[in-house]
Amino acid sequence: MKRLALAVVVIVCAVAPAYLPAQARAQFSIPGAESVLSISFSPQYPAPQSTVRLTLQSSLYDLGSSSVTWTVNGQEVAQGDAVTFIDVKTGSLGSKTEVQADITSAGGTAFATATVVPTSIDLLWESDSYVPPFYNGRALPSAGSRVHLVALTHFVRPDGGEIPANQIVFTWTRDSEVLGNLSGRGKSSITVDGPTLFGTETIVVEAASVDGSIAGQALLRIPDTEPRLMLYEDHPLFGVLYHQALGVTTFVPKNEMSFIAIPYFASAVSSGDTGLQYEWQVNQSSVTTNAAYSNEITVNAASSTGLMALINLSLTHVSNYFLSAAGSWSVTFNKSSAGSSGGDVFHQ
Amino acid sequence: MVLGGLLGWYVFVRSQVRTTQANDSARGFGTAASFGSPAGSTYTNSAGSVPSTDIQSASGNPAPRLWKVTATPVAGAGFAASSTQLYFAERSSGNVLLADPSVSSVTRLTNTLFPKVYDALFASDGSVLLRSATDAGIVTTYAGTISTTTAEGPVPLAGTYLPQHIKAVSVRSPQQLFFLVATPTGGTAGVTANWKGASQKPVFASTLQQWRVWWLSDGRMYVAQQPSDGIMGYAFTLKGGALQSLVSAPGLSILPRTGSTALIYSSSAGGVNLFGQTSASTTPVRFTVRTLAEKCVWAPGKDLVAYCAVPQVLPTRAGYMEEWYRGATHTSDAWWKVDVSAGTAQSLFTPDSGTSFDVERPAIDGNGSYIAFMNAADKSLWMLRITP
Repeated sequence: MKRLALAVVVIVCAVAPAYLPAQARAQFSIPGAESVLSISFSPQYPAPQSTVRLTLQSSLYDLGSSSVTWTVNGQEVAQGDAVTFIDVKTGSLGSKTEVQADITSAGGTAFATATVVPTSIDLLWESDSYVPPFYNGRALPSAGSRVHLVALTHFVRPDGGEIPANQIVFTWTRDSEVLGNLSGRGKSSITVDGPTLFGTETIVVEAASVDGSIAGQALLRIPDTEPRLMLYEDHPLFGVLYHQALGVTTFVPKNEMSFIAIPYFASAVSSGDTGLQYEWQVNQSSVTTNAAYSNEITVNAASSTGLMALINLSLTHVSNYFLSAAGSWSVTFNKSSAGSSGGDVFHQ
Repeated sequence: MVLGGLLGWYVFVRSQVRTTQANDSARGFGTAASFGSPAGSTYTNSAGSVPSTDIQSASGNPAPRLWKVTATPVAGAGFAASSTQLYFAERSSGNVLLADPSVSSVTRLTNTLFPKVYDALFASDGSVLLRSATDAGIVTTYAGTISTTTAEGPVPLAGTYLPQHIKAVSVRSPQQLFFLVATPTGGTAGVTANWKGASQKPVFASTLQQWRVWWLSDGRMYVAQQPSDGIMGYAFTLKGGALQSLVSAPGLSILPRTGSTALIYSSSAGGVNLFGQTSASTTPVRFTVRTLAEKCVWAPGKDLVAYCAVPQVLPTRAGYMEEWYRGATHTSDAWWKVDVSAGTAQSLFTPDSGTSFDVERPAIDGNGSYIAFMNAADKSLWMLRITP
């Protein structure tokens, strides 16, 4: 019996290298020994200064009736019957936390060890959808646009050296499909099609050092965004007044105004992209625009019998049938405003 | 055959006239619609009068505590070195003017026309970057310097155009630039350069294009992704070409401080929160006031104090920040003083009920006496004396 117990001790002596899920690594290659006693991590790839749960697992021992002693960096932190998990606070990037679990059961004694070295991956992304010049926000993806992604790994070895991206193997997955041609050593950046209409794209990147000793993972969900049509005044002197989007109902203190439609997040290279089709209506009548400036119209109320212009606009694309947006604005002009440019919105 | 040709021509002309009348009618130029006149369009016309900044002679009296420097739109402003004088550029003309709150004066310094300037950044000597965009959306950047002014009045703005497609730029006085240029293959290349765009040194490269950049007077560089409500954003310190993580948060907007690693940042995700930390290694504190970091400005000096414009009515709906960027919503702000070391905020200035401003691009003079800011609602320029 003693011999048997000793043999088991040797067999289940397990080392989980680095932040990879602690796996029981057998000192002797006896089939099945790997699963005798192991430590699993949750989350699988712990971040710096975070809490990771280490759980002891065994297919041989009845852990529920075993006495378990947990040691972290040489200090006993937990001991008792059926203490099958502990929570450990990770250190900074590159720090190493050594964990050992010793069990004593009716079947004998065994131990497993694991080493926790936290990693992090910043998964950055942006879309190539249209936003106007000087827009301060991020371009969001709509159907038909593309998404650029960059995985910035922060893999620091315990000796303090950061592993550069060209020493890391990246495996990219989109909606559970491995992107084989975009994955590989040093491939930290990819460009993929954006989400489909009303869809959400799930991107996962797994990164591991070339020697496999350090690994991490990041996951991202990118939802589809509907293009947003905004209407602005295109002022002859100040340019497009991007800071004054027209509301659903707007009063303008002049009798003529040029309007420009800006299709935020549309799959286009510019607001005047030749693929974009703007259909304007003013007071239920269609308006044909200058082909070179199809996203602009000018409305004049100087001698009109009414003061309100109901502007309807719909946007489609000649080949991207998923691109669709519409807007409606009720604009009330100041008929008494003298001249076509006398009433300036900035002079109050 | 001749008659047939004439008939065809008549039919064609009539159909074209109908089409034109229908278009004119819709635009309000026809008589059929209840709305319109046969007046011409101003599409290619320019206005008869050019609204420009009211030039104010020195009254000898200091400006009021809250001074509306100009009601006409400006493209940007920046304080002169060791002075409370404020350079600013008109949006319509690109002319550079100088406001002096000590005597309530506004003086036009340059007379070179740069129409439709959307963005202007100043060095402390008055050198200016005038940024505009072509009809095709190509961003242009003119780096100008003001030649010696004379008693005769405004002088030309001399300078040169920097490369097109500059996506982001930061000015480090005197006359140093850090800018990101879009590359033909996508992505951006970040370089430092002198005011003429020469002596370029690569400092950054990315396959992404939507960045904000900072080059502080102490030499430290930062880059941050352009924010979006509820979407994780990342900010980095740029050191030796490498990105070192600084902070990440949904809807992240940052305000780094020169001379220290203290940081103010905001997060926008279903509501806006403002945070501060005294150094890179300390735990951030959340302030009771809620605003965007870009509505704040660090005070000069040793104390980790900043001034923040805070909406008086808190925008709680999701998407506020992006609506603000699109000019679809505006707030009426009050000024608060936030102490990052203490994690406290106290009211500094609340405008009276007849005054409203939605602060953007605040700047502070070297002595911490005045804050200059633009009103995002109309691009007017204001100055606030910090002490009553």
